[in-house]
Order: sequence, then structure tokens, then C-alpha cells
Amino acid sequence: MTETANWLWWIPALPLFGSALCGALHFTILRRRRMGASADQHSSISAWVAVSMMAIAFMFSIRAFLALRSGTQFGLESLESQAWSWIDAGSLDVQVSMVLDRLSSVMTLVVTGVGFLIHVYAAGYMKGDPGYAKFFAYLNLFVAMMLMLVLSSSLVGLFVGWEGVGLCSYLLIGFWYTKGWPAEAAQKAFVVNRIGDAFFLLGMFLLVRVFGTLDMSDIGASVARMSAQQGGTLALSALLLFGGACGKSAQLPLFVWLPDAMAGPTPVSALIHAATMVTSGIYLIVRLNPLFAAAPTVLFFIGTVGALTAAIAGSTAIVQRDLKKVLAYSTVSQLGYMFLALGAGAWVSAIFHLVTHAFFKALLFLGAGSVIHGMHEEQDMHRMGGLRKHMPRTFLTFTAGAAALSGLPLLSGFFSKDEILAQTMARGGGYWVLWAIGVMTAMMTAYYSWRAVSLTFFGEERFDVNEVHPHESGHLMTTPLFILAALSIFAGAFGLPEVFHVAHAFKDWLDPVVAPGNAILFDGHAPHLTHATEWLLLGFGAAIALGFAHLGFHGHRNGTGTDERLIAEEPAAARFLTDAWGIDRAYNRLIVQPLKVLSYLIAVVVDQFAIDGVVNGAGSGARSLGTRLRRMADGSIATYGLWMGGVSVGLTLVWMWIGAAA
Amino acid sequence: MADFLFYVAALVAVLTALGVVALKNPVMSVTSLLGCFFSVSMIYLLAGFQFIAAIQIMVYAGAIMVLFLFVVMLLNLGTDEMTDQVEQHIGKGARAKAGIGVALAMLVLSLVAALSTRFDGVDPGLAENGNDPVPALAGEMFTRYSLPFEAASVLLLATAVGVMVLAKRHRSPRPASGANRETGGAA
Amino acid sequence: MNVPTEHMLILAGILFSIGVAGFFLRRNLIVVLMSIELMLNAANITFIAAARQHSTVGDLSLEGPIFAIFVIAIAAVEAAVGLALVIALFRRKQTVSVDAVNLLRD
Repeated sequence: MTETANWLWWIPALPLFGSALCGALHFTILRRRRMGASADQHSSISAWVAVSMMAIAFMFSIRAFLALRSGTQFGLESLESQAWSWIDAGSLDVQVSMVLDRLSSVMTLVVTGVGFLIHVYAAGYMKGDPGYAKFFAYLNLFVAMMLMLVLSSSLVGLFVGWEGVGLCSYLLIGFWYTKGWPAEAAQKAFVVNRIGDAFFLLGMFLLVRVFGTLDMSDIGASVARMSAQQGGTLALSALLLFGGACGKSAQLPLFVWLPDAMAGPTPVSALIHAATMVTSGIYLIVRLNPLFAAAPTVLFFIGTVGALTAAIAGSTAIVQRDLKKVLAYSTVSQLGYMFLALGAGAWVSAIFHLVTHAFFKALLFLGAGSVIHGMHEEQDMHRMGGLRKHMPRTFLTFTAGAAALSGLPLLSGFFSKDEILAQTMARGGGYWVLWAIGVMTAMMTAYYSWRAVSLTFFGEERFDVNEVHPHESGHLMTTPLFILAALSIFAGAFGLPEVFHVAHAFKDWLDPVVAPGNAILFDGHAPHLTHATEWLLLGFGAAIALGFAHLGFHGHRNGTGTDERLIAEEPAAARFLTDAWGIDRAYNRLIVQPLKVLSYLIAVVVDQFAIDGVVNGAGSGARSLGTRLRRMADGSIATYGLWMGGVSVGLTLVWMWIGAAA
Repeated sequence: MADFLFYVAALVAVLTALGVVALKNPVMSVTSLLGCFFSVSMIYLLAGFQFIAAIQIMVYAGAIMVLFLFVVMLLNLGTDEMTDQVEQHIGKGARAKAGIGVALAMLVLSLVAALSTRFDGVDPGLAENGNDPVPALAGEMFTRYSLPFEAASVLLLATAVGVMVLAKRHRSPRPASGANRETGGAA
Repeated sequence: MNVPTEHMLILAGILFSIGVAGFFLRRNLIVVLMSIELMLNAANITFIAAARQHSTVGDLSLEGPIFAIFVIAIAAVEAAVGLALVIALFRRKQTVSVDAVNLLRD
């Protein structure tokens, strides 16, 4: 049962308001700068505004969570708040309303909580940038849109938020557009996203046709009824929605925008491309779990795509030199893990991994940002080394994040990843292959995480000590790092496996939300692993993580030697991996170049020659006709008379002829 | 008898019309046209339209032709010098040829039209008395055709005014041009 | 008079054509105006012939004569205005040649 809570609107409204305020501040700053006055105060005000909006929103999220928790004893499932009826056309009725159930409360907490920490960090990171206030305006706007996405009760509202975060991603990736390539990266992100959005829209159209409504809870409730006759259409719409998720969550083949998106400021990468926006696809699928559960084939497809993406991205991350690119491909890879979980029907595990990943990936990005800042915008790991002496706090927290990512035992990443792999294996059949791919990816993950740590913080200093003076970052930046590190280390407590004989907090919390899907998919026979198998898997996972972490760490302890040997001995393989298996190049050859040719064709041939020719030709034709006709009026009476006489004779002839015919 | 007179009058009309077009001296042209009008008036009379015949003489021959003659005399176009000034009194260019072509076409058309129409006979009693009795004409004119009548009178008034304006000599002294002197053509 | 109507119409046609020819052939403006009068006269003859054709002794068709009266009035007006223009033109250009009147050309 649900309860009305109109204060829910504060959650997205506050960041929205903060965005507007920061925007106004930005224009004020511009004006003052043009007049030559100082605008530092305004800049810091904007930071305070943005951060405090996030803090308050976070508190509201906590309130919502607590309200839900205390209400469970009364059977409270969700809080809702209806605003107005947006589209009321025939049988379609779209409401603007929010619904906060257990799933969205988790998401809201992550978005506002991690978002808050990142805002704080950004206040320090972006200091000195002329677009300081604009940055916070965009950042707050993004959070507002993401919250709309997560809290909306209707697919339409979700789509609005979906598009909104896409827009903010574009704005933020291209924040430093004057440099040139960020603008291209932003455009690429937007265009690839758009492709996904097209699929999303098609899926929505199908859903409207089948269900007559786009309210997600209504759809979820009606799936079981409809899946008998409309199975095919439902599966198709699920597939299309997954297509949309691929675009937003950077799965194969629409992941190409994420590595390029590293052109944006690092807090952006942390917030948008690690913790929140890219997780929208997973949220969408979990939210509509009955729909997807009714199409097991689609689910297997999703799992396959996720596994393959994870493997490809993981392999690419191994050979990257740019620290942020490693993290970008790692994000794609981990997102693949989440989709693998969804494919196996392990909805809760996907969300669990989403949360832990948000913690440690945001931490890693922020840490990378700290490193880059301290190295004066150097991002190439081959030019770093031995930084743990210069940046101890960054080093500690970054390592914690890497440890969590690689799945070292008892850290959060260990539990969430293991759960996914266990659930995948439990499904059996074709899922064994996916499990194997997942295990391979885990090896790669451990390897590249510790490679990054080793190259960056250990070994000799591969930079000119006289030129570059790496320094630790300020408290504004390091405090969030520590908080996130603590979360990355201890968040596993929320998802301890059964065999520990402790409650799995996540599963208990989210079970009611995914129960319908589970009912459709498993029909009471949920796949189950024996305790022995579970312990085995836990040990296996720990062994892999430790083993490959060791390999990765020590393999690069002495600097760039290993990398250079790879390039020297296997140049083709090295290039193949570095270019993400050539997918970007394939895109270029298959789509971009033909499009350019087609565009040229249309612009020059069709537009210039044909259309302009016709239009201009009509004009010049009219003019020449006019010139010729003008000679009729030459001022001489006889000419006029001749025309009159001649035409009257002609007309008379015509009339006589007509008269004769009639 | 009346028929014969008609054909004579018709012949005279055509001949004098040709004279208008062909004669070099404008004064002769005017006189020729005068003769044409007289013969046309004769034709009207023969057809029994006495009033129209009278009007034809009074207005056309008596007023319009007199006007033409006045202007010709005024502009001294009758003297040999003036006549020679307009050299080639008949245009020889392509325009003229086209003009003849048009005239011939019209002639042919009207002949074809006249000959191919089937007319019933004319009432023989018509030629005796006036076929346009003035009382009847007046009755029609002032009742059914009162609007065109009034319009025509307004037109005549406008013409009177307009002609006076058009032909007025500008007495305002014009410093630069010395053309407007008392020489040739002054009223 | 029992002349068939066709003959009167033929006469009108001939007079009209002569007028048209004179309009195009003569280069003296005044003669051109006279040709116009000729054409109008031809039209009048047509009207009278038609009135004659359609009248019976008891029921006279008076439209013909009335229209002829109007035509004569118009002809007078037009001749007056035309001649006034000729005079004005002569004052400017000292000539009455048709070719002199082409200032409205392109």
C-alpha cells in the first residue's frame, strides 16, 4: 500500500533550484568580470549553494528511507506524490507524479549521497576555473534530472529525466569546449545516447499499445496477465528498452562514448560516468523486472551482451596508458557485470553491485583527479610513478578503491561481484559460458586495477622532478576520498552471503520490489547453490583476485617495462586491445564515413544543384521573361495598337472557332 | 431608287475613307473625312433614322471636323513646308506591315462574319417614317438609359475642363528654357 | 430601302479596316485621330443596321440609335482630348509625328 508524501518533491526540486541559482550567479560573474570587478565571492557562493542543496536533498532521502523502513510493519510499500495530469489523450493518461519505493530509495540515497561528496570534492577541484558557477549549475541540474529519472512513476517522466541527464552529460563533458576535443566527445556521447533513446522510444510505443498506460507499477502488475497472448510483443519491447539501456549504460556496441567522455572534468566522470547516469539502464530494467522476467530469451541476451562487454572492456583497460581511460573502460566492464546479473535474473545482486561500484568507482575517479591535479594535468601513467611519497592520502584511498574494484576478500566489491558470479552459475545451462567470461573478466579486473596502482604510485619517478612538483590535494578533496574509501571497504556488510549466516540487508530490503519478476521467472524454483559450492566460489573468487592483483602489481612494479615489451613483441595485439577491439574504427568506417558522403551528396547535389537550381532558376527565368515582355512597352503608339489589334483578331478567331464548334 | 442611292453613298464613303488614309496633305485628309461623314449620314437617312442622321451632321461634321480643321490650321500643317516635315507620311517599317496585316485580317473577319450570318428579311415598312422618333428616343434615354446619359454628361464636363487644362499655355516664366516663345503655334 | 443587312455590315467592315490601316500607316498624329473617328463611324453603322434589322413597324428597337448617340458623344470627347494633347505635344516638340511620342519607353 502506498502513502502520499508531498515533501518528496523537495528531493529533485532543491538541486533544480540550486542549478538556477548557480546559473544566475554565473551570469553575474560574467558581467562583473567584463566590467573588471572581482567575482571570487560569487564563485564561492555558488559552491556553497550547490553543496548545501545536495546536503538537504540527501537528508530528505534519508528521511524517505527511514519513513519506508518504519512503515514496513504496516505494509507500507511506497511513498507517492501526484502532481498533475500531463497527457490526457484518449486512453492514454500520463501523470506527473513521484513514487518512492524501496528501489528508488536506494537509488536516491546513492545519487544524493555520493553526489554530495562529489560536489564537495568539486568545490576544491574546480577552484580557479572561470566557469566555476556554471559547473555547479550543470552539476546540480544533472542531479535534479537523475532524481527525476529515479523517482518518476511513469515511463514518460523517467524518459524526461533520461534525456535530461543525457543533456547534462553533454554539457559537462564539453565543459572545456574551448579546447576542441571535449566538444567532439560531448557530441559523440549525445549522438550515441540518442541511438539508444530511439530504441527506448520504440519500446515505449509498444508498451503503450499493449498496456494502454505507461505507469510502471501498472505495467508491472499487468504483465503476468498479458504474457500469455502478447508474449512476443512484450519480449520485443523489453529488447527495445534494453537497447535504450545500452546507449545510456555504455554496453556493446554503444559504449564508445564513455572513454571519450573522459575529456570532461574528473568530478563529472566520477558522478555521471561511474555512479549515477550510467546506472540508469540497470535501474530501468530492475524497475520493470516483471516485463523482463516474462522474456527469458531477452534476459539471456542481456546477460550475453553484459558479459561480452565486460570482457572486451576489461581487456582494453589492461593496456591503457591514460589513468582515466583505464577507469573508463573499467566502468564499462563493471556495468557489463551488472547487466550480466540482470541477465541471470539476479536483480538484487545487480543493484548491490551498482551501489558498491558507485562507491569505489567514484572514489577511484576522484583519486585519479587528485593525482592529475597534483601532477599538473598529467594523465599518462607512463609519466608518473612513485607518487605515494608525494600524495599519501590520495594513495591510501586510491588503493582502497582499487582493492574493492579488484575484489580483494572482504571488501565490498568482493561480495557484490561474487554474488553475481554465483547467481550466474546457479542458472546453469548456457549461463555457464557467461560465468566463464565473468571469471575471465574478474582476472582482468584485478590485473589492471593493480597495474594502475603500481604504475602511478610505486616504482621510480618517471618524470622530471625539477619540472613537476606533485603535491597532495587540499582537505576539500581528500575528505570525500576518505569517506568513500570507508564505504568501499565496509559496504560489503550490507550484502553478506547466506553462508555467513547473516542477513543480506540488500536482499531483504529489495525483495518485495523484485518479487513479481522472480515469480514470473522462477515460479518458485529459484536457482540455488549448495553451501559447499558457495564456499568454493568464494574461495575461488578470492584466489583469483589476490593472484591477479599480485601479477598486475608486481608485473609493473618496475615501471613501463612490461607495457613496452608488449608493444614491441606483439604490436598488433597491443593496438587491437588499446583500440577497444577496433570497434570505434569500425564505427568510423561503417557509419561515420558513409554518413559524411551521404551528407555531402545531399548538401551539394540535392540542395545546391537541384533545389537551389530550381528556386534560383525560377527567379532568373522570371526575370528574363520579364525582360522580354518589357520590350512590349516601348512607348510607341503603334506597338500598343498592334498588340491590341492583333490580340482582338486572335480572340475573335478563337470565339468564332468555339462558336462554330458549339 | 433608295437602294441605288445607298450603294452610291456607300461607294463615296469608302472612297473618301481611303482618301483620309492615303492623302498626304492633312487638310485634304480632313476634308475627305468630312465627305465620308456626309455620305454616312445619307445612309442613315435612307435607312429611316432621321434623328441620327441629323446628329451625325451636327456633331460629327459640324463640330468634330471643324475642331480637326481648327487644329490643323492652328499648327499650320497644311503648308507645304510642314507637310514635308513629316517625311514619309506613310510608315514603311515592319510595324506598318504588321498594321496592314491586322487591317486585312479584320476585314476578312468582318466579311466572313457578315456573310455567314443568316438574317431574316427587314420589315419593308420601316423605311417610310422615322424609325427613331425623338419622343420615343427621349423616353428611353431619360428612363432606362438615364444613368449612361448622366455619365456621358459628366464625361463631357470633365472633357471640357480637361481640354482647357491640357491646352493651356504655361505663362509662368521659365528662366532656363527659351523654347516657349511667341513663335509658331501660339494661341 | 431594302438593302440586305449584310451589305450594310460589309460596308461597316470595310470602313473599319480602312480606319485600322490608317491608324498603323499614317505618321501624322492628327490623321491617326481621324482614323479612330472612322472606326467609330463604322461601329455606328453596325448599330444602326442592327436596329433596322430588329425593328418592326409597331415595335421599334431603339437601343441601336441610343447607343449610336452615345458613341457620337464619346467620339466628340475623345477627339477633343486627343487634339488638346496634340497641341500640347506640338508646343514641346514642334512636331506631330507619331514617332516623337515615345518617352514612355523602357
